[in-house]
Amino acid sequence: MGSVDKIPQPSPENGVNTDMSVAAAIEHDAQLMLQVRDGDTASFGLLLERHRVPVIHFVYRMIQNQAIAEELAQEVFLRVYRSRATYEPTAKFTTWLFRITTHLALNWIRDQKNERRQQSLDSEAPEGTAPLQVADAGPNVEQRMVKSARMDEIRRAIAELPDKQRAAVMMHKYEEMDYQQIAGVLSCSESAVKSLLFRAYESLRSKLAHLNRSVSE
Amino acid sequence: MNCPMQSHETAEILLDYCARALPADTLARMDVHVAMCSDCRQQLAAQKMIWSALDEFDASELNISSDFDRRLYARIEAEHRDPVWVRAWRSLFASGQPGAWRPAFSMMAVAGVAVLGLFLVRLPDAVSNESKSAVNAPVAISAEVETETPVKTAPLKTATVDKLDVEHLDRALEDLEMLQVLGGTGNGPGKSNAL
Repeated sequence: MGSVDKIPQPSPENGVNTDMSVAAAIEHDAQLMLQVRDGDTASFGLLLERHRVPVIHFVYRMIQNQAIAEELAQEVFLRVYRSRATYEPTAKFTTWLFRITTHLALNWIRDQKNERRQQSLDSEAPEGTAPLQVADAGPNVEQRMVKSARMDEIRRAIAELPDKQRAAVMMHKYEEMDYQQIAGVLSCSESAVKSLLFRAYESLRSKLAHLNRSVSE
Repeated sequence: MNCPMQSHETAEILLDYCARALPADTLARMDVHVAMCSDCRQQLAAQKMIWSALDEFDASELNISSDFDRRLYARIEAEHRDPVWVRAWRSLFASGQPGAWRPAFSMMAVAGVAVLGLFLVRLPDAVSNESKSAVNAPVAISAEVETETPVKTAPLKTATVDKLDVEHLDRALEDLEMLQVLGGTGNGPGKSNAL
């Protein structure tokens, strides 16, 4: 997580630094969460400030719809808040946070698949995706169209990955999590994560190989 | 250094190498190996292409709603107004940690099986009791009728009897009058005979 260095130090007025020896042993996020457990709602605000963007981005990359990504991210933080009373810092806070996030995102994708299956609707867009939102970054129409088509290919390739592989790639590539942490989030072994990633990247390589050729041409 | 492409177990080294996420000494050894190994170079080129393609899928262009926090806090406030048991139930499933509620769920499942077992054990007794009561039902009903009939029918019966008595009396009087008339006419000659 990129924003780990900008950790706000809790103030003694909040009754935070009561046990420095314990506090030093656990990570800052977990420490903040323990303060939330003790009734310090300001600490929840700090956690929200630190993890809002990564969580929304992660969900957005998983389901590729901003409105739903925000809705699910709200549910993630709501669940974090709800479970404050029972929170124990047994794992890294981000592992726990992304476990909730991944769980919700995968559930949403599964529900969408079931819904689509029931409705038997044929759609040109891949499952669980919405129309792509592309920024107006290109200087002209042609470049924008090329970028849009390329993005669509990438997006489609990601969307076609099996759910767990997709989640593993998102965490590995964008959240820069190590194998151990991804394993913690997905509740599987490290070797299973390596296997997931290996297969996912293999699949992406085969699906996006033509992009490489078109660039080299 | 062994070629990572020869073993799936070390294939992730190429991923980390591509992300430059390896320790410095391993990175240096990989540099040397990749310079000599065409398989690794090919794999690395493909992986780099994927890496850069994924970089294009940039979510930082998203404009997160400015009222995200406000909506979240509003939902939290709304939940504070819910009954305690609703909040407790939610918090049970909120953490996303199956281990947190698994023991409770197991205990509930065991309790459910026990209740079901108890129900099934008692079911034959209940059925036999029910059949017994079904057999006894007419007796009970008739007994009920017997006990209830006098109370309910008593006024009706009295009224009927009263009505009948009046009719009988009327008829009796009419009969007497008739007999008198007949006697008068009948006895006339007799009476006259007696007179």
